[in-house]
Amino acid sequence: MRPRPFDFYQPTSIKEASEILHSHEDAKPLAGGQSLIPMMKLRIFSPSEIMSLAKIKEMKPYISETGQILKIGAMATHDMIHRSDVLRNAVPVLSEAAGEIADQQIRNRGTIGGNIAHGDPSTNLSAALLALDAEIEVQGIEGTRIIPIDEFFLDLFTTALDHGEIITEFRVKASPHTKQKFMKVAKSDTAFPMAFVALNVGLSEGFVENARIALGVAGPTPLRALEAEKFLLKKRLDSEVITKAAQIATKDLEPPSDVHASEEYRKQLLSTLIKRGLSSFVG
Amino acid sequence: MSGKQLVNIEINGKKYSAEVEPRLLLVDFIRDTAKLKGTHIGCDTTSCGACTILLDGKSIKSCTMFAVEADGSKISTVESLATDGKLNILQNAFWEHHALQCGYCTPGMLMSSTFLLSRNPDPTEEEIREGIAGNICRCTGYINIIKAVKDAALVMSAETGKEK
Repeated sequence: MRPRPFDFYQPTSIKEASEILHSHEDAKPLAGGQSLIPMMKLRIFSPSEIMSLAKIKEMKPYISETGQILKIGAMATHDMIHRSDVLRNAVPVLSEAAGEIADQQIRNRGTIGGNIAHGDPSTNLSAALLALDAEIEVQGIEGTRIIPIDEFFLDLFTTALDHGEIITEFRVKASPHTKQKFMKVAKSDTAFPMAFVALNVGLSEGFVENARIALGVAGPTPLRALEAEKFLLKKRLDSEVITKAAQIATKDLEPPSDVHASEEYRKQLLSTLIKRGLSSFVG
Repeated sequence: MSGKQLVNIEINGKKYSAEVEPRLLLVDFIRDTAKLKGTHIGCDTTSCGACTILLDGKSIKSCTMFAVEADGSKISTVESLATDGKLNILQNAFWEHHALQCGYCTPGMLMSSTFLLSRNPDPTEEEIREGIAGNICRCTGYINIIKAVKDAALVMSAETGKEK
């Protein structure tokens, strides 16, 4: 299986990259290629122009800490994110989610920017970033703007990125004192996930101060369980509250049915994962 | 830019240069341009890991990267492991533990294990399983591969001890 022929561009600056995307309507940015290249090989997607981000000098992979804000360059690989001590301490849900992406080879090559720009509702990092209320910095011909993660995913494989814009950085607040957890069910490490959740809950003397619950493979986009988050506020995490929260979070969901899991089974899995995750935060 | 691109890649210490189509996959560059047939194409869909190589020291699936993206990089393939026809410690452990039957997955298994041991010289069984999770073997049931990697780690640490 080989992709259709395409023209190849390899800009060395963001400015040059923005200009190429601006003047070439069909050009597709290529980061680690771990989603894009398999799609091109299967000819599910055949862009006539590919623009590599690998040689852009401002986009060398990085993870940095500025006060309470952690900055992750869009070209940081899943492996870098998983193994970063800074991220493991400050935002463990992101580190855990990155470590559960596919396998070592894919984590060595795949990037957080490519993963999120792909707009797939079944990527671990989208749920983790939703749970962390991340901000996404994007750059284009018009300049730089920040998109909150809550406004980023519009529909299946559709994001708030305009054509010509590239994700350049992710920012998350260090939150070492909240309870965080990423949990996934899949038939094998490399198999398409059946369900996963990313939880980020602030507790004060056993009572919920804030909660963000993100659900994977739960609908056309990565989703937050907004109603359940609201329900949890000011409540003590006992088994009755946890069961109710899981029920509220999943009652109106319409997850996809496919060979990996049916809609009904996915709902049950999501509910169970929420229960297990929240229960692990107490007792 | 359309048309072919000049690509320079160092494979196992030897430089290869060729004008290639941008859509040429790295695994095809390795097998057809550099004529190194040790790296296998198994599933060709980023699942089986038979095409695993080290790119600047990190394991990747060479069926899921364009050769033009590897321009200027250093690659190690399975052919880099043995010296003058003598198997290295890891290869020898695969031999000793009967860690292959048909052998098709072996180049990828060896390269994934090489990467694992380069980072973690004393992996637990769980870490070995995790390290080869991106490589599929349809013959062995993995048990002998895991034993071989564990044993190779022991032999390597004994040899490092001797040198000191």
